[in-house]
Amino acid sequence: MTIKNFKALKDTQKTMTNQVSLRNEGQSDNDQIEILVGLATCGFAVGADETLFSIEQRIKEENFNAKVVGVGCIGYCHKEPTIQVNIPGKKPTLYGPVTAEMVTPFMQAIMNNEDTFDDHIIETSFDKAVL
Amino acid sequence: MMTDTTPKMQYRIALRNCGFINPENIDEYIAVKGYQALGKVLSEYTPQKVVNVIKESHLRGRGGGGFPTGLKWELTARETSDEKYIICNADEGDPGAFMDRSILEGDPHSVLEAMAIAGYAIGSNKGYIYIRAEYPLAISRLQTAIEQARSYGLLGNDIFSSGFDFDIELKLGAGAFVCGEETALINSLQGLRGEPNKKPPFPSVSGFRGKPTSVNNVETFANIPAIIMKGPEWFQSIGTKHSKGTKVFALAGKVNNVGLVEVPMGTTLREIIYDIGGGISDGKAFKAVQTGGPSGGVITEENLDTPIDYESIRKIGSMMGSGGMIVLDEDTDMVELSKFYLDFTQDESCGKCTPCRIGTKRLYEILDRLTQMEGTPEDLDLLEELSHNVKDSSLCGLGQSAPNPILSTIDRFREEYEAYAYRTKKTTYSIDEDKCIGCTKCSRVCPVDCITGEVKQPHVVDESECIACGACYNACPVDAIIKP
Repeated sequence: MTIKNFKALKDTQKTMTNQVSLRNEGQSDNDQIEILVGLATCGFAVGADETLFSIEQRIKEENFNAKVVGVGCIGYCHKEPTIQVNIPGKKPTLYGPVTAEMVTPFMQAIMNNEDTFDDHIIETSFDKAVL
Repeated sequence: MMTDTTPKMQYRIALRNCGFINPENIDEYIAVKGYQALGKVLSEYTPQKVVNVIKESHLRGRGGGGFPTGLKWELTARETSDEKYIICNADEGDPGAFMDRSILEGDPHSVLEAMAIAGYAIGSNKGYIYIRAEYPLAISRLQTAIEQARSYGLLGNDIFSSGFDFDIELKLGAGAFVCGEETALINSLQGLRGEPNKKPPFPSVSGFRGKPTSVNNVETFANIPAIIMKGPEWFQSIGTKHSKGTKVFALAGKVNNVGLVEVPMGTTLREIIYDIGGGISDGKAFKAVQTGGPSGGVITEENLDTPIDYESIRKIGSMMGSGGMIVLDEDTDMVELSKFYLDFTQDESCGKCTPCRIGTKRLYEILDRLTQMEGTPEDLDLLEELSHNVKDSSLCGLGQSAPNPILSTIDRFREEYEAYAYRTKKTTYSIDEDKCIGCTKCSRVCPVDCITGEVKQPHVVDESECIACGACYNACPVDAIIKP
């Protein structure tokens, strides 16, 4: 696909916004849960790739209505692997650390809206420029 | 658990997409209005207008020097030449710094987009990213991003049917610290030895292949699309009088919340270390914070409330540098700290100029003999004199700034240097007889069996045998062990 001009880019952007809208404030037109895993060098160093793989496995095995996306550094090195859980209609929440071993109970808690992992919640300390 | 309940002190511009989008999927970058800044300049701005917007924003180079980015672009733009080049300096080399790596791994497209904008502004069709080979993940994500941008026609010929061509190539560096200096970087890029050249001529006049070249840092580029989209007034509204926008810091060392932070210029170090960083780890006391890497210095308690920008941080004896921020606690030995940095710089000195090649080596040797208890009081004067000589006579920034860690610590912690020079530094542990309850815990953990005493009687350390491992200190339940 070649984007031929500025207008075509803006049109493309409109069709793509649904890919990231859930991550902002929880806007979504369906009820699929999205999980972001921080996959930068810092995350890899403590096994964030294994966490991501385990989450994928759980989603497949349990047929959860969820998807997982690898993203860059979330900035909380002291709480790696760091995960952002985006549930439609709710404010996205950061959790950490969530290691591969913790994924089974973690997914159980997320999918069933249980509070078992509330002590792993990271309060975000930043705002950001929105273009 | 630590809960950070403070108001949001961080504001992310350069890191706006890090941790938010999948860096290996260009569609997610487009979804957050990626490449629209490029579209805007190609369809609505003249190259001169782009330069003007960046000048008006007062963006300054985030690699450490703080040179106005718009001016750098203008100087390169006004040269006439058949070819010009844009270079992204991704040779991040300060120990403990990982700002650029995180941006490249988390949001590579923002850097590519900014490079194309810079190319349009100065009249260049070719960009290079000089990145160290030690960053394999950043390299692979950049490669993926470049291929995806080419397949969408966002890099290549006739971008957005505007007639503007721009493409980017990656060049891997072998990890020499000096190659972060722009003229050394250009030499390395040309296949020559990574050594700096005398300036002038500046790269804006004669850079890569002798052509006008603008070398900008990763974080500088990451700010560009946001400035174009939101306007220079918006950017100017953030920060201090002379330093606009934000700065990314890699917060590391003895601090609870180690991490990557981006704060508006003018934020104080106390806010960064205590409010964002959660204070000093293990309940220890703060001693100093080291900024600017091997070129910088230490900042102590008395200056923690200084709002940080390029100028103020120089006034308190350090420098902004690229953004490394290492927190030191009460246990840090400042002479050992200087020795660590000088070991690094003497190793990384390229050897082209004598003051840096030999001077940093001699500085390191003086520090080494001090810490071995083989120094003399005269060594302190020699350290200071030689430090000034190396600063004043080195060819490039590496040598000119290499003595800074010494000058900064000798100024504030002279007593620590004197303790070594006069050989009065205590290097072994001892026991406070009044506090000791004779529980025997210390003697049981001592790996060299140099603590003796009867049960319920004060114990004694044989200081000739003590190896200063600290095991007794940690074992003592009543704080009776006295540290060296």
